[in-house]
Amino acid sequence: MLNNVIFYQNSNIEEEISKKLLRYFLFASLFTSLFLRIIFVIFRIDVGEQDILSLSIIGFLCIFILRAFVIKSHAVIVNLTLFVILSLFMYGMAFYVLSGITLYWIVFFPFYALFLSTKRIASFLWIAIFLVSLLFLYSMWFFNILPSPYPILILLFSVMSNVFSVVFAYMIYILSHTAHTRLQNVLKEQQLLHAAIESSTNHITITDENGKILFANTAAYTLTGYTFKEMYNQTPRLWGGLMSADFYTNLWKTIKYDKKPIVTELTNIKKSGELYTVISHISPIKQKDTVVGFIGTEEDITKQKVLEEKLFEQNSKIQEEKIKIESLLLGIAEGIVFHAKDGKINFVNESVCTMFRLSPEEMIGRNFSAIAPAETELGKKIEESNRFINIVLKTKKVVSDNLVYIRKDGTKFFAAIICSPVVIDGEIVGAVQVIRDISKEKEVERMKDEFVSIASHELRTPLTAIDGLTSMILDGNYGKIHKDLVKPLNDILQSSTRLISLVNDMLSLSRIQSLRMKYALEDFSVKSAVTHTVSLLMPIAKEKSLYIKIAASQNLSIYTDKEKFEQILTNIIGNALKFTDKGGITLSWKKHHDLLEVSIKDTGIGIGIADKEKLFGKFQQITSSEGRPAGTGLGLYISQQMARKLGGDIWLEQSSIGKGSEFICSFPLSKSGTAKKIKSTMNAELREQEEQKTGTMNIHR
Amino acid sequence: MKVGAMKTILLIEDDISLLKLYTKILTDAKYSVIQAINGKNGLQLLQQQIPDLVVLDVVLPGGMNGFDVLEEIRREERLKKLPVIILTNLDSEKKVAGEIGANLYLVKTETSSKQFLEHIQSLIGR
Repeated sequence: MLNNVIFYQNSNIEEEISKKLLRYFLFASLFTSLFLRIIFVIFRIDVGEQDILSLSIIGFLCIFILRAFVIKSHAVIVNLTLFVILSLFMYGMAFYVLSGITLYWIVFFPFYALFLSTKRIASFLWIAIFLVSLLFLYSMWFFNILPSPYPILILLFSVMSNVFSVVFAYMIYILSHTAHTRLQNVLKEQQLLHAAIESSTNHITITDENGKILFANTAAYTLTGYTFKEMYNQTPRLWGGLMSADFYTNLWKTIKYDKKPIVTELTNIKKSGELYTVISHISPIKQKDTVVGFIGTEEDITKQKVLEEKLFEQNSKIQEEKIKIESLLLGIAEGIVFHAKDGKINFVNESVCTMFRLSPEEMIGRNFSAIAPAETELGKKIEESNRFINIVLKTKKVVSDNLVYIRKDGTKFFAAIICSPVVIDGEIVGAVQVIRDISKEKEVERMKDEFVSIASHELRTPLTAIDGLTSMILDGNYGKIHKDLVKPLNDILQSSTRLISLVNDMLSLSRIQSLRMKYALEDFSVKSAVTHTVSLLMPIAKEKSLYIKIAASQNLSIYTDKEKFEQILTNIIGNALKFTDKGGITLSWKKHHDLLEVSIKDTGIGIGIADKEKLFGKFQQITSSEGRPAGTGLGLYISQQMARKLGGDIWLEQSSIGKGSEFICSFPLSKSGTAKKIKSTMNAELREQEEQKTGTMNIHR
Repeated sequence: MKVGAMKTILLIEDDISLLKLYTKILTDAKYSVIQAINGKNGLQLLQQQIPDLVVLDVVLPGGMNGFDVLEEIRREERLKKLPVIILTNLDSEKKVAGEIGANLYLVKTETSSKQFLEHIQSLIGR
């Protein structure tokens, strides 16, 4: 098979060696026999009638002929057979001649076998046979069965000649053994190479110089689906031929005439008809610059190809997403800053550059605090450890607030920041800051506040005049008035009063929204404050023939702004009076944890479900049976905002149409935890406002 | 009652309607009223005559507001004890007024004619 074409078989090499050895040995024996003959002639020793030389030649011929028959046998068996045949032949002749040559062969072959045999037992066996033969021969001489003219002398010379031949043979053996070892190493290498090629998962084929396949490994059978039989003496076109004709022409030209290897991607077809893609390496096999064949390997990359295509697809998708995100980041007005794990900036978008008036190069790789010093809205410098980025990297939590950034040129701008950690698989890898320049919003807010303050003031001044003058006229300070004028004058007074309260509410609203509402906290008795408020509202109740009852006697002390408390209570009771036509209002209070809860219960029209939701909204008014009531729709909103700021709240406890409603407002009890908390919060705010006082004063003055 | 025995009140108010209104209230209550329409005017009048009381608006024209006027008043030794009522529509500056040395801080819209008069009477008497 093909293997024999390419590789030597183990037995062939052994044979070569034994052939060579045998040849040496025969020369050795010939030489020894001649030497012996010369000695015998010189010393005139007559060993018999037969000529030693002729016997030696016969022996040589016998060996040569036998070797030709058994050329493929194992060396040891060859030698064994040869020895037995020759021994018998020679021994038969010895009956007539008993010459030294018989002894010579007897001595010679065991050693020969010994040197050639790889098996020790065989060697020992032959030595044993030799010794027995020797003993047998001498015993025959000894008992005069065989005539022996000079047995001792012959023995001596025989031994001598054998020693010579053994030494000679040994020398030859050493020489040939070296060659043997070398050959065996070559063989081992060849075997390894063969095994390697066989084991390779790559398809490997070897062709002759015309491209006819001589060898193919298992992978080649597996890949193409063809057996070696089908491939043998075919060209690899068997599974190829799908590429253009030019392609194959060029390929053949390169490997055959340019004698250069080629690496190319090929699409081939299996025996089953299935297409597959390979990377093919084809190299000419050169011997002294003559191309004697080709070796081709094919690596199946069909799966890789599919993966590659998928990867390419994914890559372009990712690229697309990346471009989308990048353009998004660049396009938005918000500043985006990406920070690495160590806080260093590794990305900024266009808006950040605009905000800070810096180029990306001036920011990337630096600490944010170094390029963007910040302070609170009240102008207090923000320490390094309190910078958002550091807090976020430490706590892994989202932080957001407003602050003021100072640019390189010293100018400042207000910004709203949201800083979030970037977490991958639970590991924080950085943080992202979204910065919004709110300077304009702040300016608008400030202007609005200023406008509201001024407008309120400017509106209130003429209203005060209208209100004051009308009430003076009504009081008769400008002389007696005609009775027909009393009603319209009262209407003027009412309208101006309503307008004043509207302006006042607007001002309160503006202050609440801009956090400029001022609070003066103190401890005071609920009972007296409620009683005082009720006394002020009594006239209105009496006008509508309603009662206001205080159904609690417990005298508790609360810690809050007394004016605001009375304002809130007035607002709720006022509302209750507005929406009650029969019955009246009952006030009570009780402790609940840290808070005092004041209940204001009326017997009015009640509040519908739709209205309940709107109750605490801005400019929300509930229509009473008498139509639109006098009010601004801001009362409950302002009251609730103030109550919450003071640590309490206002809510609608219950209400049913036609039966009445119950509102509850709560305030912190004196010396309670809530009271202490509110106190410290308010103090902190007051300090901040103190710091801002100059600014505020400038607005009002 | 003789004119000489009447208590004198300096009224500094830029809104003419209100000036007239407060003047009417005060004269009706038998007070003698000196009128000024801005801070400088008011301070000039104080140089000529020391009244029993100053009723001072905060928002005033002419570069000097009521607080500036009050500071000037408190700076002068002879005017240091002079009672001053701040009568304004700014309802958030009570604390500032107190610090500068106002005796009373009244918000116009929250003070009726009657209350206004009561405050003055309790401060300087009839």
